[in-house]
Formats: sequence, C-alpha cells, structure tokens
Amino acid sequence: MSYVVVKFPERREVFIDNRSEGDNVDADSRLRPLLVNAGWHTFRLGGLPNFAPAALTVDVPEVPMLAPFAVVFTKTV
Amino acid sequence: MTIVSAARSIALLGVLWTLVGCAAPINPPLTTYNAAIGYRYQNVRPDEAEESVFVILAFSGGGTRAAAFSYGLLESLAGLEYQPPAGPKRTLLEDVDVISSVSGGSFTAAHYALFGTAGFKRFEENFLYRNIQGELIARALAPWNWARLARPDFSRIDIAVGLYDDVVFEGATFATLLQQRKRPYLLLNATDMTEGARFEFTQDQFDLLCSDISDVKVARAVAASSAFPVLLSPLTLRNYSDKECKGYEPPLWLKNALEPTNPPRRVQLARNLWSYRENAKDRPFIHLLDGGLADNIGLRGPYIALSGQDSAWSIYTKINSGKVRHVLVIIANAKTGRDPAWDKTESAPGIVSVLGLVTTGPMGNYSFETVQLVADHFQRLTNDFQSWKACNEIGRDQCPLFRMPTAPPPEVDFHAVELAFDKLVNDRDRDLRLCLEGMATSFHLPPAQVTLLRQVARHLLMASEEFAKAMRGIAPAWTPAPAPIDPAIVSAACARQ
Repeated sequence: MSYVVVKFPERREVFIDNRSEGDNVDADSRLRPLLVNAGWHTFRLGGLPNFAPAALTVDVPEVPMLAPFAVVFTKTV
Repeated sequence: MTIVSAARSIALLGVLWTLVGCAAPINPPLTTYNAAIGYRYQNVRPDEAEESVFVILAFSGGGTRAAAFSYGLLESLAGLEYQPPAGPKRTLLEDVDVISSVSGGSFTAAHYALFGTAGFKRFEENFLYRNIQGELIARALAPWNWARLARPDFSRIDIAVGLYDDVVFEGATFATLLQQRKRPYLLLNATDMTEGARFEFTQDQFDLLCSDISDVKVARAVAASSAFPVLLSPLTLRNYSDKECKGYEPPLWLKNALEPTNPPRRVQLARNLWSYRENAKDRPFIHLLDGGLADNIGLRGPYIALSGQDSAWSIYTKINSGKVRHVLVIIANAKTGRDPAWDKTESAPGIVSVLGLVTTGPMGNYSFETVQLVADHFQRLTNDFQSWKACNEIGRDQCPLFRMPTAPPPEVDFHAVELAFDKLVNDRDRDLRLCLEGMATSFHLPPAQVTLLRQVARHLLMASEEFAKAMRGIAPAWTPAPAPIDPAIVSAACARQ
C-alpha cells in the first residue's frame, strides 16, 4: 500500500496502468495523494499531449500518505 | 438371442453411446479479443452507477452447510431496508456489488446472481432442502452412465455438472449472467491443480486461455468450484493460448507486475496468471479442483481488488476516482470446529478424525489469516486517513494559516464483518456452537439444520458490532432488528448429533 502524487503545472486526469484514477490536484490545486499498491506502474496524463515523458513506468516504493511518492511530468509547450 | 449376442449388442450400444456422446470442448476458443464483451466487471456494471456503498460478499466452502449459511445472509440483507441520503428506501442486498465464493457457497452465489430474490424459493426447493448428495450417487451408479464414465472426456464431475444444470441452474451459461447487466458481479473460484492458485470464472481469466467463457455453463463453474478432491474428478479446460489470440493484449498492470523486483506477492500473482500463456505449449489442458484448496472463504480475489490496481474492479481506482464512500465486506464462513471430545480421552483420535483435520485444518488456518489480512488492511487505510486529519489539526493549532501540502484524503468508511459459528461466544450459546461446528460437510442436511443455519446467519449479522458500525455510517438512523433463533429448530437440528 502506497501513495503517489502526480506533479504537473496544470490540473490533469491521471491514468495508472491505463485506468483513470481522477485528477492530480483537487479544486484548491492541492496535490491529491492517490492510493497505489507498491511496485511497478505506468503513469500518464489525460488532456492535451503537451507533457513529457508520454508515459512514466516507475517502481513505486511503499510510503505513508504524509510523505507520498512523486511522479513528475513536465510541460512541453 | 443368446447371451453372447446380447453382450455384443450391449457392447455395440456402449461404443455408439461413447462415440455419439463425444463432447465438444467445454470452453470454446476466443475468436477475437474484445474488452467490451464477455463476463467482466465493467460489462456487468457498464455505468458503474451507485457504487458509493460498495458491498462485497464472500461465501466459504462447506457443502450444504455453507450454502444454507450464505443463503441466510442473503435473506437477511434482502430484509434490511434503509433510507439513503437521497432517493427511496432500498435494501442492503441491492447494494451488493460482488459475490466471491468457493465450493458449497458457490451454489448460493451463482443462483442469486442468476435469478435474484425471485429465485429464493426455487433455490430452497431445488437445492437447500433437496438430497443432492443422494441424487449424485444415484446418477453415478446408473447403468447408462457406465459407458460414458469409460470415455476419456467424461468423468464423475460431468455427472455432477448434469445434475446441477438440470435441477439448480436451469441450463444457464455465463452469457445468461451477462445479459442481465446488473449486480452482483459473480466470482466463482476454483483451484488450478498445477499452480495451486486461485482460478476465477471470468472472461478476464479466460482471456489468458484465449477462450470464450460465454457458452460455459454456470453449473460447470460451480462444479469446478466444489470439486472436492477424490470425491469428484477435476474439471478440465482447454488452453488455446499456444496459438495466436487475435487482438489480445494483456492488461498493463499484469505486464508491470511480472517485473521481478515487484513485491513478492504481486510477482507471484502475475506469474500464476501468465503461466497460461508463457507455458501454453506445455499446458494445453488446465485441471481445476475445489476452490477451497486455494482459498476456502473466497476472499483472496476481493483482497486483490481491495489492496491495489491489480484487478479489473480495483477498489483503489474507485476510491481515487471518488466513486466509493463505504466499503463493506461480509464473509459467511461456515467452518467447522474440532471435536471437543478428542482431548477427554487418553486414546488418540482415529484415522477419520486425523484425515478430517489434515484436509480442513490448514484451510481453516489460512482462512483466518485472510480475514485478518483484510481487516488489518482496512485498519491501515483508516489510520492513514486519520493521520492526515491529525497533522492538519496540529498544524492549524500552531499556525492558523497552516495548509497541508496535499489534498485531504477521501472520506471512506471500511468494514470487514465475518460471520462464523465461533462468534457465538456466550456460555448459553456453547451447545449451539458445538452443534453448528459439528454439522456434516455434505450436499444433504436434515431440513431443521438448513433452517437453523439460515436463522444463525441472520442472528450473527444483527449481533455484529462491526456490522452495526458500518450501517450507522451508511444510514445513521439504522438500528439492528431482533433476530432470535427458534429453540424448537435448535432442538430438532441438534438432537441427532
């Protein structure tokens, strides 16, 4: 059991292993800690394809909710 | 006609019967893979509406004892009306999203998934109060089955399938189940003999065999789920994945989970599933036995969905998406107990007792651990969510402008309720508990015992403090209804023991 925050300058839908898991931030633009089981997962964003990399496959370590693991996408345009 | 010619005629008849009766594969190949069709969670619940209260039921093995006990739970939920925050009153049974079952519990689960509450009476007549055991034996001994039993593609389990299909499941297939497009999603669990792993009858699992579950009879899945070793032969499926499986792509979670540096339990799950494709040439046939050998309470499949993204109906995904607010797992565990007389005498228990313990003891211990696994997981989730709140409060106490860097976690209420005979802990219930724990594992129980099991399920549900907590979260005004056990039924059911 682990928690992940997905960092991107805009609010975006997050896909984990090709399934939608809601948005990366809440209505107040705060990062949402997403529940994820520890291990390898593939993250990507919805919306405009103006981010890099196109997908990130990372080994999510087991971390507590108060110190979530960060997955970072950068804006390309 | 001489004896010789009569014998020749019978032999010829036998050969003809054998040839005519050569069966097509019970699980046909998948012509084209398509995630939008087949018996999958998302196709049973296309809109995923009304998932706010997500209820999972797990039914254990234990023959008619388990079937009646889990049926008592269904009856109780059908009678449990509550007022949701919006909309008309509803029953908790209407909220049941998934039923996962093994062995005896699979009869109840599958019948309800097929026929709903309208089929309750039929289930009582056609299964619970019927001597299924006797009919199985009668069919196995019938002369017309002798030649069939000599065929390599026909065995004792096919006799069971025929009986269950005729009298309980009325010819239904997984296509019949899918056509209803409504809850509950049914997980009938068997055990893969080679892997020793759980095998569920869903299209997601059949994809790995490149096979179509649609035409598979529900009776066959239930028979596999309840194919107790030796008494019934294993059920054999064809694995077609040595050939090209048109359009099939394994789910991404499965590809990722095969990476060896994953947590060991995740790797093990992925390897078991992938073995059907990776070793397809060496495994053209898959032999299935009683689901109780891998998990005798049907809770391992739900646990995977409850604890990660590695399931077609991941609860993590539903929580992250804000769809789920209450998760309630109710386990109907009809496990038996040890004979209290063993330790009263110097002489060691006999061979029947020893064999009984060897076959059921490890399963019971594993079931206990599985229930604890789910309960501990729920506690950890609750603790994590509460720690965010506590941190937020401490921060604000020190500095009114303090703001947590992350969003508040979703408010989700988790409860795991186990109904088992050993929950009858009061001294006055001791005799009743011993009576229940001493009931036979058979497909025929005396009618009073069946009625007693139904009443006990309701009694235990209404007495459960954990269930009351869950209900108060769902409907704050809810209070448990009285659920007495009729002393006359207890006397009738337990007198003969």
